[in-house]
Amino acid sequence: MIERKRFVTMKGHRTGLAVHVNERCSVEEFLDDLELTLEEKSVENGRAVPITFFFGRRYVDEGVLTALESIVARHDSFLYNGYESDCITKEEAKALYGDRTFHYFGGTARSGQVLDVEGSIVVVGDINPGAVVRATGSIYCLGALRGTVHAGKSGYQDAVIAASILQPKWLSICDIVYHEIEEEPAEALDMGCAFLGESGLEFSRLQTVPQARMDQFAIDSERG
Amino acid sequence: MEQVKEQVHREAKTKVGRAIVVTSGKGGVGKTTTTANIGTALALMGHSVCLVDTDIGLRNLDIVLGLDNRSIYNIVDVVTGQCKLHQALVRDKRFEEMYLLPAAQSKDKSSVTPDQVKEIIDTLKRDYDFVLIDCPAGIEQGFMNAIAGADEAIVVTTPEKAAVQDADRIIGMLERSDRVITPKLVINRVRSHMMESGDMLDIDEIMRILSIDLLGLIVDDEEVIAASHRGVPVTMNPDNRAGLGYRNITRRILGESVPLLDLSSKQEKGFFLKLKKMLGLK
Repeated sequence: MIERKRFVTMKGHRTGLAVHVNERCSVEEFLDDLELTLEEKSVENGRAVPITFFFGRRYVDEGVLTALESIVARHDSFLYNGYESDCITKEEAKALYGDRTFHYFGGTARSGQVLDVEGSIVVVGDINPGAVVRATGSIYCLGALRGTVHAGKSGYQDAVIAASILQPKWLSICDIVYHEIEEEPAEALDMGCAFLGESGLEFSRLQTVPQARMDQFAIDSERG
Repeated sequence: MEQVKEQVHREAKTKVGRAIVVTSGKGGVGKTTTTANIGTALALMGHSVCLVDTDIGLRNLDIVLGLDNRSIYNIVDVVTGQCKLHQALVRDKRFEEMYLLPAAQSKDKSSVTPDQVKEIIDTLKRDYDFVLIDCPAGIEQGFMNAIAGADEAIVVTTPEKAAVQDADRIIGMLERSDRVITPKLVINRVRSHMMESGDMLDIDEIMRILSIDLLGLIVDDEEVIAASHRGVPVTMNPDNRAGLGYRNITRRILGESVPLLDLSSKQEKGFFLKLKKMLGLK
């Protein structure tokens, strides 16, 4: 019998099996090979072993993943445990990179204006009452912040809101909301900063923002 | 509209007037009163002025000026070609050269388009030193009509949060409009004792929020209401402080540097004391 060409390589790990998939073969080829390999390695009545797939520089879409999962599901000895690939779509890259992108708005954000950005925003001016600024990242206001702001709107926990004068009408980071009437500080905070601390939303002077948040500043400054 | 164009060709005059829109966003802060008084003050100083009411459907400017029984045609008639532009203008006989183009009371804002208003304003600018446009409240078509032909803008607000926030919105819209008009601010109905007690926004707070040039302050005065009632703009009264405020604003529009009125209530007391002394009450 002729030895068949292998497109998947199996390696045992402490946490289960790692399946490395050839980067250059067709999808059909490696799916067929996977089917046969799993067939060979199946053990009767054994405990199901989790399999993690490694695709290297191959991009895998939903269709391939579904086929993959259904193949693994047909074999009781194995359990699908996710995958890793060096490739992502531009969209995914944008989403990953999005929180770290900076946008600039020159001038005063006035009542009725809505600035909605993917990433962080620097407002070179004031944010007036009635203006709305939303960002997936952080919000920095060089002037007085008196409007409505929402940082980390899609769940970025490290987002901060900083302003020369921090006196928001409504402020929110992720899904935690501060409202001026219900909570302190009602007074304007000079060089103020809001962030998510251990006890929820915290306010402090910009200079005393915890180190965890300062790392974020450092990385951004290095990138220029 | 053809007729307006015709007129443009026929009356190729050399004047390059300034078209100034008076707007506010919020209603009832004193746009119409401000338009009437600045117009009157300009006319008193010898300039030729045409006031244009763009508040179609809710016209008021003619009443404040005391010209309500004299308007025959209006801006909609001009646009639809019912009359020529000069036929619709109502002359205010108290002055050398002050005219009013009334709005229609029976139509609504959609009866004219911004382009049509712009054409009328451009025509008027050739004949008058100043064309003042009274803008309706709101940010819809009426507002778009009013700003279409304007070169400059005056934003009127009162020291109330709601009025300031609406003014802010209007300033934002003016700044982002195609014409990029830089607006100037008039703060109306100033009550210094309420500002001092913190029951009203004070001037500094308003300026901090709106951050545009201040053209002037008008004190809250019952005489303004009485003057509108009589159809005689308050600025025609030489002794009234609100009237003085409007004259100062007008002088600033003309490029003079005039110091702001001292509005502290102490001063006001002194002023009233003087007034009462003059009247022999004290």
